[in-house]
Amino acid sequence: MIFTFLSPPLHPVAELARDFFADSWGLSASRFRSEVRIDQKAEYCPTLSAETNDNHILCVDVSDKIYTPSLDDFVLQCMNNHLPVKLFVAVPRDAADPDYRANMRKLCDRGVGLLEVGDTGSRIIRQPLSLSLATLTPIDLTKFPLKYREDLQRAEQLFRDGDPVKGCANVLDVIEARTRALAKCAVKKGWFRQNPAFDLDKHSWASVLKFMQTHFDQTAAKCPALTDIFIAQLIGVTPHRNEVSHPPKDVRSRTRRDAQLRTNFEHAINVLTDFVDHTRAVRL
Amino acid sequence: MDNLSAELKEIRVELIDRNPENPRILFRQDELEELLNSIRVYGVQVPIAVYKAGRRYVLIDGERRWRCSKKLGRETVPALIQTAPDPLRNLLLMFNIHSLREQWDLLTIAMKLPRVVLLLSGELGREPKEHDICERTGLSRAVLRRCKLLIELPQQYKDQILEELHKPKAQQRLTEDFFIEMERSLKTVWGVFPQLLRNKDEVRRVLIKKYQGNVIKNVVHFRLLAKIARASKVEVDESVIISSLSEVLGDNHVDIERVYEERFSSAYNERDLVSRISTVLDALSRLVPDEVDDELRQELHKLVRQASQVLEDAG
Repeated sequence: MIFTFLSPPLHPVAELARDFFADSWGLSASRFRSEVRIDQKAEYCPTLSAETNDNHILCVDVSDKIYTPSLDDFVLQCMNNHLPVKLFVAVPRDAADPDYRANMRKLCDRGVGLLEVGDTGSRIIRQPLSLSLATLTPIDLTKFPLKYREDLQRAEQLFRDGDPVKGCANVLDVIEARTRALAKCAVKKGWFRQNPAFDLDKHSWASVLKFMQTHFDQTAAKCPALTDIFIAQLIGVTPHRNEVSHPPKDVRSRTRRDAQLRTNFEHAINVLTDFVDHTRAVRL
Repeated sequence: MDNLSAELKEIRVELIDRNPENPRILFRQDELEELLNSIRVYGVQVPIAVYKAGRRYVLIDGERRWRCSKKLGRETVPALIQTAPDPLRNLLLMFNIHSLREQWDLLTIAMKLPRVVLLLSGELGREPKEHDICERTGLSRAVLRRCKLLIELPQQYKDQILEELHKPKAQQRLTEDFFIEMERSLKTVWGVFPQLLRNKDEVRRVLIKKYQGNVIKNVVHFRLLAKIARASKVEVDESVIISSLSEVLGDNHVDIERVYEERFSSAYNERDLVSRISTVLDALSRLVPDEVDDELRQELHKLVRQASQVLEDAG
């Protein structure tokens, strides 16, 4: 491989890193390119890059430090453009980074992975996040009742760790559980102008919400903000509940999908936050 | 150098090639990363210099800036486009540009000198002398001689230096300076006692081992080795010199500095003192009585007292 920037003593490290990923990720060595841009929207040229079998872009930057400031812009560009990049920094085993602690923290904060390379073998010290998923706005768990926090935290973790569909589904599970609970409470307390003639646990979620939209008496329930317009927002997220995780067929599809899923997730959280707020008067 | 026709424009990074005559072949990672970060924040502030070669451009100055721009994925870089030089001028341009910059890696310059000599011979019609090379390359005579010492090293040591030069400067141990000092001292020993250097490579191996093992603590101690070899000038017995050199050049824990201090420093100090006394006597002989002020009178009295005491103690 030809390197313009990488200094010669680190060339063997790059080759060993490439061989490691070729073996462990099932990528042929010929797939790897050296020091090229991976996308028009990301300017930096990582030491190595290759498309993975699941349509991510594996990027490996070889250095004798575990993090360099020049990666900051690249990471940001990937995140902002939802590029499904998994970025590793590959360092020689005997590298001595004088700013190890600070650089490790930066690595973790930015979702970058770390590969330690040696003649007798290489190992992943830290797995990266897909940068297309790493910019998810963290959930402010303090806005939610205690009993939902673990589920929401798990949802966020699932999303960041590479299963955004499941992460979204988990948030929607929480919304569905809370809205069905409200509906059952409304029946008990007589907050419906007309009682439903179907089972609130078994009937489709969208139908339950549509019924609420027409018959829910927000004045009686002391939830004035739970208007039919707001319930329409709740109805709007229901189609995402049953989204199936079809693997994207190429990098571009994955980029579009990850961007959409991030929007869906954050929107669902916003809707849930509002719903919790609007139903504070009700003990669910 | 004719730069009157230089044109400043943004040129595509991918159209630029490195100059094959650039003596600089080593680009330390830590230095490149520092420049990379600077260019990332501030851009390329000083245009690179290139000349046109067909549809492409060849670097005259700015290879590091070019490499960093490529790494950052920049599409263009600001460049001053100059007239294409002939091969000799191209080579000499490299030397002269870089001679104004930070400290060079001497060995990489040394490796280009044979080509300078070849091209200069063609132009001059004769073998260039030292002053020809210095004048045309911008190198000082001292630097040129240091380069010659390096180029004459066996290949394994040149390879060793090149490997070392890749490390950040603070981590380099077997540096060019080390080999230069060692070779200079061995030249002196060879000149006086060639029988002690029948196996020069073995001697080098031993000295390198001693330096890496911190028996020889400083590269400047090799100058003491040269002084030991020339100690007959200060009337040290030849047998003492030979036995000391044998010890110092042997595979053991004997340190040059200690041997010099124990067996040779007093002889050299005495010679230095005699030389300084001579200088003072000479100055005194030219002194006019009117020039003797109070301060000088005081110092002269001190000198007389001190000298008398030394002579009395010496019996």
